[in-house]
Amino acid sequence: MTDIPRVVVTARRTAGAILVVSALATIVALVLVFAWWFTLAPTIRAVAGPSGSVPSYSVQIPAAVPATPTDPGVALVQQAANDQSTVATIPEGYWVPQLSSKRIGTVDDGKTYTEQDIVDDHLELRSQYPGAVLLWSGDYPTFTLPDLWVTILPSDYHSGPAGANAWCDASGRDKDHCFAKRISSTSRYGHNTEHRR
Amino acid sequence: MWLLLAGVVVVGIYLSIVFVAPFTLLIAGVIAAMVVLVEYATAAAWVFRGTAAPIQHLHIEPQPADGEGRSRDPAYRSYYFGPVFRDYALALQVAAKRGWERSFAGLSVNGSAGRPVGARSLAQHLYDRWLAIGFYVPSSPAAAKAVAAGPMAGAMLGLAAGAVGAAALAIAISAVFGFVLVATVLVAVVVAGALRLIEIGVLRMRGITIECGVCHRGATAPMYACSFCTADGGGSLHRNLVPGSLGVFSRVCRCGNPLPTLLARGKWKLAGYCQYDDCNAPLPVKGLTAPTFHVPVVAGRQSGKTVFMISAVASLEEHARNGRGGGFEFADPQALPAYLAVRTALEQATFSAIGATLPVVSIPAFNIYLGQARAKRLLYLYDGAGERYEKESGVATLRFLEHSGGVVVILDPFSFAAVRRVTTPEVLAGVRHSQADADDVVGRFAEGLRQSRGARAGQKMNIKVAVVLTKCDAVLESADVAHPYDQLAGAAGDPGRRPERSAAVREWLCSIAGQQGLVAGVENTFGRCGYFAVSARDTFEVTSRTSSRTRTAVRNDDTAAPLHWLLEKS
Repeated sequence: MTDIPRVVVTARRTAGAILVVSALATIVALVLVFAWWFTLAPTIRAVAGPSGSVPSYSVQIPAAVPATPTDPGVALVQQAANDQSTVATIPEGYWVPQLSSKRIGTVDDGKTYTEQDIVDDHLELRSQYPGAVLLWSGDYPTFTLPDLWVTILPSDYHSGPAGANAWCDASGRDKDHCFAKRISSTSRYGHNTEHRR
Repeated sequence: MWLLLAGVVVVGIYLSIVFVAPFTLLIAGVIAAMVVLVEYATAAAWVFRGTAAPIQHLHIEPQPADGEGRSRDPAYRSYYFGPVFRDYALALQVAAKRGWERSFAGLSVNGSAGRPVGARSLAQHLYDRWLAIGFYVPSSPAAAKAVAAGPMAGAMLGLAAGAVGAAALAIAISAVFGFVLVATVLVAVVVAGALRLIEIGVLRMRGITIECGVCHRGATAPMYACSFCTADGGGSLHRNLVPGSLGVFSRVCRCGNPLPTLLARGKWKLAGYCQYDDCNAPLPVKGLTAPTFHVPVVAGRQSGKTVFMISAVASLEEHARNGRGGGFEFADPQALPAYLAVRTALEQATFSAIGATLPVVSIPAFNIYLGQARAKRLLYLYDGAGERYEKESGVATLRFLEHSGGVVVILDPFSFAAVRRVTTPEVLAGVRHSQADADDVVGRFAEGLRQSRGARAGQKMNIKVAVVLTKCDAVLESADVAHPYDQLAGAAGDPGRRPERSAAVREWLCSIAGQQGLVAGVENTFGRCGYFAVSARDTFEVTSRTSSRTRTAVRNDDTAAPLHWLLEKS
């Protein structure tokens, strides 16, 4: 082996250190890119939609509770809590279409509802009518009965009952399963329900 | 029976492809990737560990000292200005070769980079295993091979994928490394250029230059000698010791020692040499640390020019030693022995021992540093032989005139006929008076100076001149010759009253020496004139002496006073 000058040895070792740092930086950067791709990117892709689609104006669609808990009672409570902020977007005293109201033991179309049935009923309506939300009637004084799980469509609010019932007419639902309901968190008195004729 | 066997084989093939092949693909891929990355790391370590890989390909070493046509300085090229890329190319080449050999081709018979010869590659090993699988199932080797074909193909595929993936990672690392290196080099180039400009700018702002004391040309890019390898035949001279491809802040000399490339980092401590090939004379030490100031000392033969110059320097040195003056430092070690010899003669007042200056072709400068900090100046004193000023052709060859910042004109009072006429023979015998015509000498010098500076005739040059009357101790001893200061009363003993003393010497030259023409010529040539009366006997201490003519106490000027006056900012 030839005698390598000290200056070359020192410089080579410094360059070697730079190479090690470059390698570590590259590996860390690649790990971060992969981590980002597999965690955040799917969400972004989902939100962005297919490329080339034109974004349209829409109301905020309340999300269903991500993972339905095993206990349906807990699921109902969580869903109602989750939807509370959406219900709050309805102007005070306005009318919305009410799609369903159930409690344990409610008999409808020959079926006696359990908590699980109420959950299933709500989720079905939710999938059928994007924007539908769940509320606990006890939280709103415009409901006479305080122990009902009620599904409403808050995005279609109106200052009077006619508008809400017009939506029900257009939806094709019968008069027992869709009518105008006034939503207020402060006033319990007065005319709060308008059934369709 | 055959049908059953065929069914079992088909099922085996299916199961091996569906369940085993993915695992072999994955495992082989991981192993191949590891092998390629390990080879990459090994090759990089082999190169960058520093001592194992060769360096011939780097072209980093300086050319040998006795090499002809040397195109660059005797220093190592900066590793980052090229060699590092050659090293990295070597590392990649070795890594690619080894990775290919270990994964697919097998090691060549001769091996590479000291690795054992004859080893089989991963692909060859896999293929051999597959070929050999029939030995384990001797009853139906073909069926065993068929069943194992799927996993073998998967492993081969994984091997290729793993090698390609690892190669891609190595390429990515190489790209980042290359980017960092290129960025480093670019930054270094910019920094080197900026540092050179800053250094040039600072020198210009402070008016610092350096001129060769022998050929008198401006040394704009001095050569520097490595202080560690001066004994190797002059090959250690660095002609271009500035930030560049041999190093930004410092470079490594052929001898292995670092040399600073910037004055701020200590380049001024190195011995500098004139850059011109026909000269190469040593420059003053600590050059380019202070502005220069060139002072020709002008006189005819035997006027006391050398005695005055050494006396002035000795006085400055004495002041500095006694803490009375500013900084003083010799800048020319080679001139020191001659200076000390004359200084000894001055101490012993044996002026006859001081020989005449030889009329050499090139007048060497005597260099000293005067002053401190920002006021420090590198003084060039030119003691040309008197003969040089007595002929027009001699003056024309004085190249240093173009740098002159001030001039000292030495006048021997006994060279004037009017003085000699009233001086007793005894006094005249004690002083070897100059035979040269001072008027002629100064006139020729002034003309030479005008030509060297491109000044028009009749136009005053913006240069100060100190007109120095020497041998004034002898004037004081003469009862027949007036001393310039013996009529000054209080100012005769007070060197601080410069204007009065200067006017007295001027008046003496005009009225006693009859040199109105000389005085007028000097004052019409130079921007400012100062007149002094000195004696070399006052070199180490200026004492009052009694005038033999008037019996008054007179103090000559300090021999260093003309230089101080020239250096003063007017």
